[in-house]
Amino acid sequence: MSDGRLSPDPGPSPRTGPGPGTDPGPGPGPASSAPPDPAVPRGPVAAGATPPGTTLSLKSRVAVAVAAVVLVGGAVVLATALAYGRHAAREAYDRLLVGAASDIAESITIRDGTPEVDMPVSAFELLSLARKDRIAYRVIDRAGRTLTGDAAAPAPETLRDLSLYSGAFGDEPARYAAVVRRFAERGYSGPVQIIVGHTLRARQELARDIAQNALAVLGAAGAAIALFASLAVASAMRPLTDIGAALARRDPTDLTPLRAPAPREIAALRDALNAFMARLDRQLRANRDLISNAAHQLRTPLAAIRVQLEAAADDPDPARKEALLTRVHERSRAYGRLLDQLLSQGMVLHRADAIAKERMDLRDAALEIYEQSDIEVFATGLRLRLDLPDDPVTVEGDLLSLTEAGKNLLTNALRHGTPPIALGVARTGGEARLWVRDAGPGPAPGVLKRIGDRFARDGLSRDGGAPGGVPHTSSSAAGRSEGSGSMASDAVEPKVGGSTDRVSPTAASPDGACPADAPPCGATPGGAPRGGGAPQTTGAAMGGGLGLSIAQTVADNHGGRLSHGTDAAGFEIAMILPVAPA
Amino acid sequence: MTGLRILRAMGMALLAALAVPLAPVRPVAAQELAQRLGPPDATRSVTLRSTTDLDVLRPVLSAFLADRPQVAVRYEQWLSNGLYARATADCLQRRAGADLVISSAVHHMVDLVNRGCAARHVSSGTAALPPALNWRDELWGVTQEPAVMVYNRDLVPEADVPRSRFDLLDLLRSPDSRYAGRVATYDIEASGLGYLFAYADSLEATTFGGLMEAFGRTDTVATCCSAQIMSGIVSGRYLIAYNIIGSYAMERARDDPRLGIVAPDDYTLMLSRGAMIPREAPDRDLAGELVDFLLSVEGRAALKDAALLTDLDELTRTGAATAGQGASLLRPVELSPKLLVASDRHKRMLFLSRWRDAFPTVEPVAPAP
Repeated sequence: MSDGRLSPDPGPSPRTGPGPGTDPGPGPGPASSAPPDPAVPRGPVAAGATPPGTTLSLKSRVAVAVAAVVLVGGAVVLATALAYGRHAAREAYDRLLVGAASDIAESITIRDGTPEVDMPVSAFELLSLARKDRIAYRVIDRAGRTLTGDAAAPAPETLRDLSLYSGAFGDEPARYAAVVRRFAERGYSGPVQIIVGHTLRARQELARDIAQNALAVLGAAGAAIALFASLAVASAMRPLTDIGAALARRDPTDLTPLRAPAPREIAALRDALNAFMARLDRQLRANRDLISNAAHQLRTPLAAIRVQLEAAADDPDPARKEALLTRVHERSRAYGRLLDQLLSQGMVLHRADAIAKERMDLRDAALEIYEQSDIEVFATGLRLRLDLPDDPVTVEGDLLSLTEAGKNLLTNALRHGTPPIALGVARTGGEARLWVRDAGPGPAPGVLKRIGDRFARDGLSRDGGAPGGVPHTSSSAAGRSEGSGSMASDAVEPKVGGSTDRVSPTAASPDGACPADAPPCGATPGGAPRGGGAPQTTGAAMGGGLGLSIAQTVADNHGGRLSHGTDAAGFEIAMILPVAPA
Repeated sequence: MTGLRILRAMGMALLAALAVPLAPVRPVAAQELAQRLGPPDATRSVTLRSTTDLDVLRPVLSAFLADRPQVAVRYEQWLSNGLYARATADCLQRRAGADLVISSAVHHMVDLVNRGCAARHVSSGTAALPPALNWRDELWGVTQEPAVMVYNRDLVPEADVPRSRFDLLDLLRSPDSRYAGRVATYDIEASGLGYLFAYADSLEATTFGGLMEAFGRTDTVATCCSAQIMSGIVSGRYLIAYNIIGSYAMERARDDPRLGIVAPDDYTLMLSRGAMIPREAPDRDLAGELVDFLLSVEGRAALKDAALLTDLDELTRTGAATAGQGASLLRPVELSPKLLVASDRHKRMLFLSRWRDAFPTVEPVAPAP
């Protein structure tokens, strides 16, 4: 959008045509009735195009993440719980088996050389704790004979004091414990092995119970996590929604920063948004200034040209007619230069924000200036000396802007300075200098004092200080209330920022019509049919142009400054920029 | 006495068969009776082997068959030890035998289920059973019958009627008591139920030791079978009988006022006959249906009519139990693996040797190899 506005667009544009509501003229001009240029992108249209797509909502993302955590964690916990349950059940019921087997072992006595088992009910009470399990038991004497119990119950492979092992019990899997009691009696010396086993139902039930409980706890935990995550996301998103709401509530022209406090993460977004708006605001202001400047600066010379042309047309004397036409020709050339400068200023203002600075050699800028100034140098017949160091002078900068600024400084020198004129680059400490020097005494001290003042007039023209000088890069009506300035500012200000962004600088309208409430308009210096003096002054202002202001803007944008000084050799003005760190 | 000897001999033969359950089982001719109930043209038939007297169970089975015109019941009445031996043999040989087995010797049934001989059956009826009456959904307690003392009202004066085991002990204190030789109980070697009651007594209280001693001292008669014992009471041959299954006694007492029944005050054993569907049952579904019927409202009503479902109220109402007794009076015989101890070979040997010591008139049985 900015590009469109700043590019030299020859066609009539609705932005520069008179607005219907504010045009006090006799009727809408041709520009205002012209259809909008379709090639020029327009904000509202662009905004009304296909809305940007939305991606997966943050809630869904968090939900997916939480679900993943719960699922993966759940699988792990479940597997662990199952394993633990199985282990716990095995431990518990193995103890039962061992207890029962020991109980039975205690009940064995040797009678007549034979072990006799007075089967204790307590052992079976113990085993009945696994209520639904079948019980296998077997007592084996030293000869391997089954004294009592189920002879089919499997014995452990080795005879140990305590063995725990798995086996079958009929058609069902079972777990067995075997304990050995050793006797040293008169009639019987040797071991008696007691085997007790039961099926696995109780173990499986216990393991399942444990796993189920774990699953229930896990489910509850998952639900709680989901709930809190949802609340957290809602709470985290609120500042974003607040910012959105604050923006939506805003007046369309309001580009002031958002002040609402925000969490750190969102403050970054807010600050970026604020920075963006500030840049937008600067550019809007710059454009507005440019337009009002242009309107103001272009209006007066144009009126002068018109007046002179009218005078020439009316003048019967061919010699005077010829002189007047020559003058008009000169003026129109100056007018072109002024236009160039205005555009150049618009460009550097735009680039200040829009273009990223790169590492560059300041000598390149000097060469570029030198080359681009060839025609002008040739035209003036002056000699230009180029003074460059051998080593690169690296700065972070925008070559185009720096070149433009340097050109303007050089043009000023060529036009108003005293030859010989020199252009150069130097490095002193951490500072790089792009300087222009002439042999003259420099401009009047009053003019130089105002360098750096945003409202300063470019009075560096040596031809008399331009009393009717032109304000530039100004947004203050006070700054240009002298002369005809009020016209332009009045016409421009209410328009900027409107939805169509149109500017109707009435004062600059082609026919030179003035607003009804601006009587001085008709009394502009250019309005005098034969006023030679006033148009001259204006012409000088046109020639001096905005060069210094452009240089000042570029220096500011590069974190540098303008400096000037007069010594015995002459006057030097320089743009001083910080040297880029190695 | 000769008849008794013969009965004992039969019991010994049974015991010999039982003592080695894994040895090839000899055919045991312990089947007392076989009868087919239901229409002759029935398409389905369920074989029920039970220790219950058919005369007692018949109305219950008739109620079952009433709604099922296509079903017949082949009923076999067995002595408990014989039934156990047969069911064990069927199980080990994976041979189709009965569809349903119901025995009062529930320790036999627990052992069969523990060996994996039973089929699982779950229904709303089985699920409603208390845990003590349902083991593994394979064994269900279908009846509720007290172990009681029976006496002859004409011959035992009211003052002598033993209300508890202590009373009985007092009556038998002296060898020349008038009750000496006229008290009867089950021969626990011949009767699985008698063994179970005696075993349960031995777990309940120390009274049992004294009681055995008193029985031995006073020549108490150990004999077989509820029916004979009750006939002996009625005839006056016995005055008092100990540990008789209450269902038969109450059934008989309805018709015979001479028969007095006492549910002992110290504790009364409560037996639930165990029903089990053998793993190889030809018609498990029908067997399950019969089990469900026995557990249904209708079936329970029929069992109650047959005096096979007795509760404390009933005992109090008939005067068997003294009024004001709490439910703690009743000691149910739980269907649980604890009953495996009763079937343990050594346990049984030890128990029987104690029994024989108390009843010297009984010839000793050779210990199992």
